Amino acid sequence: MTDFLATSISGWFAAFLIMGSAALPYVIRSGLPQAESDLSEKYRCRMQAHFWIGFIILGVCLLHLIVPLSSGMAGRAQTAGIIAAALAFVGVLIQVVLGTRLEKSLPLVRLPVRRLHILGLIMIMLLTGIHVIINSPLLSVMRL
Amino acid sequence: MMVNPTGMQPASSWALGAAAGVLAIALVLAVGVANLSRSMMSVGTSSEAPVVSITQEQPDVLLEKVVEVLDSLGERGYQARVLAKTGDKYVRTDELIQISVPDGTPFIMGVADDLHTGAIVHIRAKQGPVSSEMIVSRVVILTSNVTLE
Repeated sequence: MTDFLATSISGWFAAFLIMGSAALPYVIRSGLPQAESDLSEKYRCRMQAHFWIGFIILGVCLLHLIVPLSSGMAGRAQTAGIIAAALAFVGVLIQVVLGTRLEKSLPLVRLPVRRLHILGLIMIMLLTGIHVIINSPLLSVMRL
Repeated sequence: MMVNPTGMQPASSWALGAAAGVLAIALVLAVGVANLSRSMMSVGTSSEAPVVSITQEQPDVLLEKVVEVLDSLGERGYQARVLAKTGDKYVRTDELIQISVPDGTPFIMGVADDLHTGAIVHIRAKQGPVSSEMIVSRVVILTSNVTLE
C-alpha cells in the first residue's frame, strides 16, 4: 500500500504542478502593467517561480516513474496508458530544455521557442490525461 | 527583492511566494485525491462483501471460475470478484476472492499484460497456503469477448 500511495501522491502532485506551472506565466503577465514587456527584469524575476516548478515537476515525475517500476506495479498496468505516460515524461524533459533556452533566448528566437513550449504543454496535458484515464485506480473503481 | 548569493539571478520574494504557494496547493490536492483513491478502492473491494474463505472449497481440487479483477495486491496477487453466467451474459456476485498468478502460468488467450484492474478472466485454480487465496494454474483473458452486466 505504501508503493501505491507513493505512486498515487507523486502522480497527482505532478499533474497539479503541471497545471499550476502552466497557469503561472499568465498570472504573472496579468499582474503587470501592459507596458512591462516579457523581457523586463520584473517579469523575469517573477518567472523564476515557473522555472523552479519546472525542475520540481521533472523530479516528481522521476519519483512517479521509479516507485511503480521498482515495485512491479507498472508491469500490471495497461500498456497503452504506460506508453502515454512515457511519452509525457519525454515531453517534460523536452519542456525543461526548452524552458531553459527560453529563459536565455534573444527576442528574435523567443517567440518560436515559446510557441514550441506551449505546444509541448498541450501534448503533455493530453498524454497525462490519457494516462490518468487508463491507469488511474480511482477512475477504474468509479467505472466498476 | 532578495539577492541570490550566486549573484547570477536575482530571486524575488514574489517568485518564492508563488512557487511555495503552487507547491503547497498541488501537494494538498494530490494527497487529497490519493486518499480519496485509496478509500474508494477499499469501498469498492473490502466493504461491499466479505472475502470468501476458500476453506469452504475442497483443497487440491482444481476449480474453474470467471472473475473480474478488482485490484492488484502486490507482486502477482489480485483481488477479484466471482462472476456468474446468466444466458449469454455475466453478472457480478458478492463473492470476492484473492488470486495469485505464479510465474510461468499459461495464458491460453491474451497475455500477462491483459491481467489488470477491470479485466475479466477465466481461471483454473486451487486453494493456496493462505485460506483466502487461490493459486492460479491457467488463465484465459475474456475481456472484450464477454458482456458483463
